[in-house]
Parts: sequence; C-alpha cells; structure tokens
Amino acid sequence: MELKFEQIAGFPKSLSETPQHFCPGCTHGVNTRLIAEAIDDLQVAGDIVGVCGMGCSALLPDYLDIDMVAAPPGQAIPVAVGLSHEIGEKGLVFVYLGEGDLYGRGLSALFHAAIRGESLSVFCANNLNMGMSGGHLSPTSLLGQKTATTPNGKSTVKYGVPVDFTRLLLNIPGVSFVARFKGFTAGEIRKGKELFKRSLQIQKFQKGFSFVEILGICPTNLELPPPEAVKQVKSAISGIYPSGIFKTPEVGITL
Amino acid sequence: MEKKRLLKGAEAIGEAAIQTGCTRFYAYPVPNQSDLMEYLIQEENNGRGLTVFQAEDPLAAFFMAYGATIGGARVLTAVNSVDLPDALRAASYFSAADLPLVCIVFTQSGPGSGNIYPEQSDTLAALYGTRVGDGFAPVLTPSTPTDCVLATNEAFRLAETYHVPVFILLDAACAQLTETVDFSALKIHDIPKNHPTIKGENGGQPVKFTTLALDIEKMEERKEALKEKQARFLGEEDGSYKIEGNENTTLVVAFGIAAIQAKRALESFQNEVNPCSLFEPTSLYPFPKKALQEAMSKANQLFILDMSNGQLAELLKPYIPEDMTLHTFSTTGGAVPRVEQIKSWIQQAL
Amino acid sequence: MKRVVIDQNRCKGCGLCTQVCPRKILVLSNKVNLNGYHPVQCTDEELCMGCANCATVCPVTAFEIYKPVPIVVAS
Repeated sequence: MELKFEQIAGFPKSLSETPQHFCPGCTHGVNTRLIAEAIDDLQVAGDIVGVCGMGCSALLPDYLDIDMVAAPPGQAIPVAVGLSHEIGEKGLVFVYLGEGDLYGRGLSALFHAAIRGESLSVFCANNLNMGMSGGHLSPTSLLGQKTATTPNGKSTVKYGVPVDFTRLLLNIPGVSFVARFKGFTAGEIRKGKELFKRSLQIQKFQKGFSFVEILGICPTNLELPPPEAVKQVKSAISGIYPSGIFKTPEVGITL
Repeated sequence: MEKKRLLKGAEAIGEAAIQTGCTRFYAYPVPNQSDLMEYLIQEENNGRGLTVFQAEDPLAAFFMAYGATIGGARVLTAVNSVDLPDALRAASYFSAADLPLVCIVFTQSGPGSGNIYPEQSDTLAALYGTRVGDGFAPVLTPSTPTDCVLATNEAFRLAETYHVPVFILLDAACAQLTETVDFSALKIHDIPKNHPTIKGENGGQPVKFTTLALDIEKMEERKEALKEKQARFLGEEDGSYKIEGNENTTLVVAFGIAAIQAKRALESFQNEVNPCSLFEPTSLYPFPKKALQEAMSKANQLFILDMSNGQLAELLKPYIPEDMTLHTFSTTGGAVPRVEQIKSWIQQAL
Repeated sequence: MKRVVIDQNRCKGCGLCTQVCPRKILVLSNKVNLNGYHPVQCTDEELCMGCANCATVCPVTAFEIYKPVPIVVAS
C-alpha cells in the first residue's frame, strides 16, 4: 500500500514567527495558538481586530499577524467597545486579556458591556494569579493559594471566598454565549478551539456578547515544574471552576 | 439650518463639533458637561450624523473614544473638573499612540467634589497633567459662545494636524453663557481626517496599536519622535489671544468668564480712570507669549484676574518684567468676579 | 519522511508534551538550544501514531506532525 504524509498539526498562518516571551509551560502560548487557528479556520484574518489587555497578554500584538490594539490596564473592554461601534459592521472584534485585568480593574466595564449586549468576543485567560506583575493575588486566586502578596496563603478573612465570575455573567440577558475550558489538557484544548470559533461566529451573526474563559497554569509563579503544575491546578480547581458551555444561543458542541 | 442661533457655550461647542465633522461623542453625564451631551443627543435625533454614547464611567468613555478613533471616527469627549484625572490618563495614551482627541473640560470649583459653580483652578493641572511621560496637549480657553465655536474648530485642526489630545477649558459660567452666534460670519474650516487607523479589511500589512515598548531603544525612538513633534508644534503655532486697547499703560490679563467680566468693567470706566488694555489668552498651550510680552512692554501696571488661588499669575510669572507693578485679584469657591469688584480693585490700585 | 518535526530552538523544554504522549516517545534531550533550554526530542518516530496531543498542549507551537495515510487511487 502506498502512503503519503498528511500534516495534521503545524504552525497556524495567523501566528507570528516572533519568539514569545511566555515562560516555559505557560498557557498563554496555547491560547495564542488557538486564537490563530480559530481565525484561520474561519478565514477572517483580514476582517478581525484583536484587543489585548495589560499583563502577559499585552505582547499579543507581536505574536498574532492580524490587526491588534493593546489597551491600558482595565480598559480593554471599553477600547473594544469603541472599536466595535466603529468597525463592528464590517469586521470582528475580540478581546484577549488576563483575569487580574478583567475581573479586577476591568470588572465594571465587563459587566456593562455584557448588559448592553455589545457585539464582542471576550477571551479571558484565568491563571489564578497576576502573572506579569510577579505572581500577585488575583480575584480568582484560590483559598490558601500562596502568591507574592499572600505569602501565607489567600485567607477568607482578608480577601473573601473567590467567586466564579464566568457564571456570574449567566443571568445577564445580553450575554449569549458563556463557556470555559482548561487550557492545559489535550482534550479540552481541542474543544477550546471550537469554543473560540463558536464565539466568533456568534459575533459574526450579531448574536451579542460572548465570553470564553480559559483556565491556565502559571508554572513560574506557582514555583512548580509545568507537568506538576498541571496536576496540582487540575485537582485544586475541580469543583470550583468547572469546564463546560454554560450558555449558548443554539444547540451546539458539548464539552 | 438657520444661520443665526441663540446658543449656550456648551451647545455652541456641540454645534461646532458637528459642523467640523465629528462623528462620535463619548461621555459620562455630570452637571455642566451634560448640557453638551443633551444638545448632541438632540442633534443625533435630528440626523446630523453624530452618535452619542453614554459610557458607564468617565474613564471608560475616554477609552471607548480611543477605540473609536482607532476605528476611524472623529471623536469628541467631555468631562467635568472632578474627572479631569481620567482625561489626563487617557491623554497619556492618546499621546503615546499618536491619536487625535478633543476633550472639553468644564471647570468647576474644587478640589474634591467641590460644587458645580465656575472656577479656573484646573488650569495648571490641565497644562502640566498632560505632560505625563513627556506627552503634550494644546489647551484652549474660549470665553463667549462665538469663541467656543472657533475654538472647537481649531481644536479639531490641532488634533488632526499633530495627532495629539486637545483640551478646551471652559468654566461653568461660560458653558451657561448665552449669545446669538452668527454662523454666516464665522469661518468653520473643513478638516480632513489624517490620523492612523486600523484597516479592518483585507490586504496590506497588519496594523498594530501598542503603547508598550519593552526595548529601551524602541522607547527612545518614540520619545525622540514625540520631542520632534512638540518642537514642530511649538514652532508652527503661536497661540491665539484677544486684545482690547493696545496702547495703554495699564494691562489686565484674564481668560474665560473673568475676561468677559473684566471687559464689562473696563467698558464701564469711561473717564473715571485712565483707560486699561485687556489681554485675553484664548490658548494656554502654546501660550501667546510674544503678544503678551509686546503688550507688557507698553504697560507699567499689570492686573491679573483669575478664579483660582493664583494659578494664572503663576503661569504668567516667567513673562513679567521685574520693574512691572503687579496686582492680582482672585475669586474662588464658585463666585464669578462682579463688575463692581473689578472696578473697585483697579481703582484702588491706580 | 519525518513524522514528528520539532523546532528545537522554539522549544522551551517545559515537558508538557512528554506527559501527554501515549507512546512515551518524547523526552527532554541533554542538548541545550539557543535560548538555554533542553529541547524535547522524539526517540522513535516509527512509533508515533499521529494523535497530535503533543502539538495540542505545546505552548510554543514547536511541533509539526505528519501522519501517514494511504493514497486512494480512484478507479
């Protein structure tokens, strides 16, 4: 039998060759690739504008070969809203930012954009800490998690119990798509790409605000080798930040 | 569209913005500023080609403006004194990204929440606050509604020419001051859009807007470009002003509502005292220093009238000759200087 | 024809792929790449079944995976 070799995985067209600054094992790298693959699959590279927030995501303009805008801390959603008002009719706008930025300074902007049902796709990389600033406490840090600002572990007394912000969006009528996946297990990463694509498609057909949260690992700030970080984070978040599609306008893929 | 219209200062700004081709307005409603917003919403409903959007907070309004400007819109924003820090933060980003912005600052009494009555105590904050990270922003200070129309048109010209944020400081009294504006007598210039935008369509190289530069060399390059831009700006623009009575030995300097009141006081003098000249800077950055120095060279008595704890005097200090007799007078807390007050102040001094 | 192509200088040696490979043919090598990391290497390409798990979890997109498929001749 004659065989030919078919490429089943490779370098997406929309991903830039620029070496990335992300630490070894960082989920941001996976997210960047998934966004590039989703853009390539939908063939929207020429019509899409990305907005990135502050932190590790701030260098995304260098890593994606599409139109990009880097927003100030906490203001990624307003910048995207303004862009979408202006170019939303002919193009797509997505936002990619970390949870420290989105759920901290940018929380009011997130909820107001969701309430207004802005035509946006928001991708939030939740790695349970503020990575670039040096591993500080973030709104989604787990109880007992040791961070640079909580060296003895996050305590309920001082910082309360972390809230699942993703599921807080569910009750807002303007939100049409809410999903979450783990960016560090092969199975969920595969489905994650479909979630990004679904989110962009929903925007394309003017179905309102869509939100995807990516759970990630930050091995450097967890001070663990990446494979060990995957194991620990997976067990620590189980039950607190479940994966799945929580809201969708139509019957779709399941996770 | 009738040629003569009775307009408040705030409305005159809105009308001028529409006639200059402004397509978007982002703001958060606060007293004084909301007059402008309400006027523009009315005109939006009249189909004048402008979209008004009420943001969830003033800072978000500025960054929506940032996004819309990148998308290709001509944007107007407005804040009240209390939200000036938000405007300054945004100005830093507009400067860094080489983008135009026109921001109207309705100045009221501060610090803190203060009250909504007029004061000119944000002058230095606007002038020096926009210098964050060596950015810069032209600052205009119109007084009458007719001036507001011209200043707004000029602000868009400066913004599109130098790709900088432009601030118009309008005190709460000028915002409410009503006058018949004769648009047939005013020249409103068409200003072509020429700022960088995102393409949002197929073809060409991807466009990146980022104010982050992790390399020292890259940042140095940017700062060098900014320095050149500022030098070009200061070389080409002289700063506008108004002067009444050029040849007198007594000179009064004031802007905004203070200038209007000073003018009324000087007109009512008639033959009681020697006639005084009035110098009104309608631009604080660039400052019309040549014109002021020329006016001061003829005078031996200088009266500085403003509505803050001496911010205008502080600003003028470098231009005042040593042999000049200086008199300052300020009203604060939201009080507008009354004509009688100004009259008796000048009469006592002379 | 190579089945597993690894960009040795892009790899940061995080080792995530070594955990997800069902055939356990990926190991971190003793070599040091241009950035000072120990890049991953494939010990036996013939064993690769083309699941692309490694490429999926790789944060730096260092993998290119080729899978042999039979050529179907239209009759």
